[in-house]
Amino acid sequence: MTGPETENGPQILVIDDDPDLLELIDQALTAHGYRVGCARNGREALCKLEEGRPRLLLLDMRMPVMDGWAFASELRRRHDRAIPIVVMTAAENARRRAEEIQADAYLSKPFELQQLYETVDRTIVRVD
Amino acid sequence: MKIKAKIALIDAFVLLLTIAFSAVVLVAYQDMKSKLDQTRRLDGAVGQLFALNLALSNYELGEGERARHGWRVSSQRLQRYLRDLHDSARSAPLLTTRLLAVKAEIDALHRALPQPPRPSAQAESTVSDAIRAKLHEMLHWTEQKSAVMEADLSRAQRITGLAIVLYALSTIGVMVGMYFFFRRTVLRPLARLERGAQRVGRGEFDHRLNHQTSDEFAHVAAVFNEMTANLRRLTRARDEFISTAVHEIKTPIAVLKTAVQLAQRQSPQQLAERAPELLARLDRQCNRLNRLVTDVLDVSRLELQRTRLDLRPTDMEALVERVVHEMQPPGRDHDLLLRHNDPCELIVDSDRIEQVLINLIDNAIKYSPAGGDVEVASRRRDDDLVISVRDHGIGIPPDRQAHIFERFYRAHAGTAYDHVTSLGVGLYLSRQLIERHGGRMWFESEEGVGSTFSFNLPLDQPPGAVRGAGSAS
Repeated sequence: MTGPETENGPQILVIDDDPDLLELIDQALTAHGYRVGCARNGREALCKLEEGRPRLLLLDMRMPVMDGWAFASELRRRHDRAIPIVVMTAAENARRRAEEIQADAYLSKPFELQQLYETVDRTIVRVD
Repeated sequence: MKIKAKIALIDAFVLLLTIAFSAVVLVAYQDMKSKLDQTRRLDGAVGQLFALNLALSNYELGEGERARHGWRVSSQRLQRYLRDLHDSARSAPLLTTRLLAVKAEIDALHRALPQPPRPSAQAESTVSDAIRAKLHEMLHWTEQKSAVMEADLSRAQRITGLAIVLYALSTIGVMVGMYFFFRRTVLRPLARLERGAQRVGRGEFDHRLNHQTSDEFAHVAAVFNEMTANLRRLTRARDEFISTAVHEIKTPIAVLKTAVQLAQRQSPQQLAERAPELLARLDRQCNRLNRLVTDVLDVSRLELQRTRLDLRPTDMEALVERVVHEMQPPGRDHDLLLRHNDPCELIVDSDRIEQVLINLIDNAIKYSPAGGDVEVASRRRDDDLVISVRDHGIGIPPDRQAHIFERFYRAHAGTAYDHVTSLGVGLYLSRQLIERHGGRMWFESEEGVGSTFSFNLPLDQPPGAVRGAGSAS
């Protein structure tokens, strides 16, 4: 299933405060053919967005410094054409979390790797 | 106004009413009694007047000695009755004086009666006519007197009757009033309190009692509302704890699962290459899971008072040194310094004390994001050992300091320092554990300057209290 690693794949920004998970998702998505950027919290993610616009955001909700809610509203305020967001959360009601910030899709932690790929692929294609 | 004061007022009113009624009835009764006495005596006096009249008739019939004897007896009795009447009837002394005067005249006339054998018919008839006239005059007076007394008697009767009716009516009124008073001030608030308690019992912790008055029930309502507010806070904290615990436990599971799945998709070479990194990661997450589950368990056990302390003689100097050594932060931002470490041996549960110290150092590092020294000191004093951890971090806002030791409370919740790996039980657990050892935990903190958390352990531990707590359950 491992896709070809390319330099030109669509870019995804992963935002999660857990360094282990961040690195693992980075590895998984890179193996699947995406270019991956990482941020430890909402503020870091906003800085990364200044450098370039990814095609998708994978967003954890509970983070220190700037959480998912604050990040999402700041994002909508700064960029009129919003980037699709996939919410990843360990909270009990992931769907509601996703609705709260009008995300495009959600993943409930812990998730299957296959689920991650499908959700990411589907969301990027749909938006295209 | 307080219900107690209102009841005291009602009591005073009923008491006054009863006293007034008793006084009226007592006075009327005394009056009636004296008037009955007078009537009885008047009756006696009238009877004697008839006897005198009879004696006069005897005299006229020529029975001189018999008449004289009857006259004397009747006269003496009449005298007594009149004197009694005079004594008891002070309200109308004029009347009885008049009667006595008439009687004296009759006596004088009696003495003037000529002795038998029969004197001249003229003298005889003059005296007896005069006596008869006086007798009639006296009878007339007594009749009048009798009528007055009868009128007085019936008036006293009317007054007594009226007093009884009024008293009965006002008693009924007071009782009816008391019923409504109690219904309004006691029964209704009680029913409201009961309904409120039932609703809170069903779990409606938002329910509040409104009580506008300023009586005892207002106080009860305030206490009740405080209780529901506490319950509400506790329930919310518990709900938050559960969802935080679930969140925290799921996060390492997510890491483990992703790592394992990723490994499954890798070629044997890739896997072999990345094995050390992968295994270190898995180990880290397992430890994290374990710590989280232990925290949750510790809290539940503390709630149920089931923590057993494994008390043993412990070298505190070595313990503090070991913890400080092991806790050296990986980054270069913080320096963990051991400022002072007195030698000391205590009978404690060394694992628990270590857990407390680790927790305090962990917090100190976590909440000084800008770096800076974290200083640990262990000082032996006269009767205790004080261990303190000082940081130069963000400090605790004054309004949150009072809650810092509460279960599930996170002082920095909702702020930039809301650290996601915190369950909000660390300080709560730590303080409970220190208190189980017979010690105390306290802190000083200034926002933006830093915090110092300290605890003490008594050198001379009360073994009963500590062991008792340890072996409870």
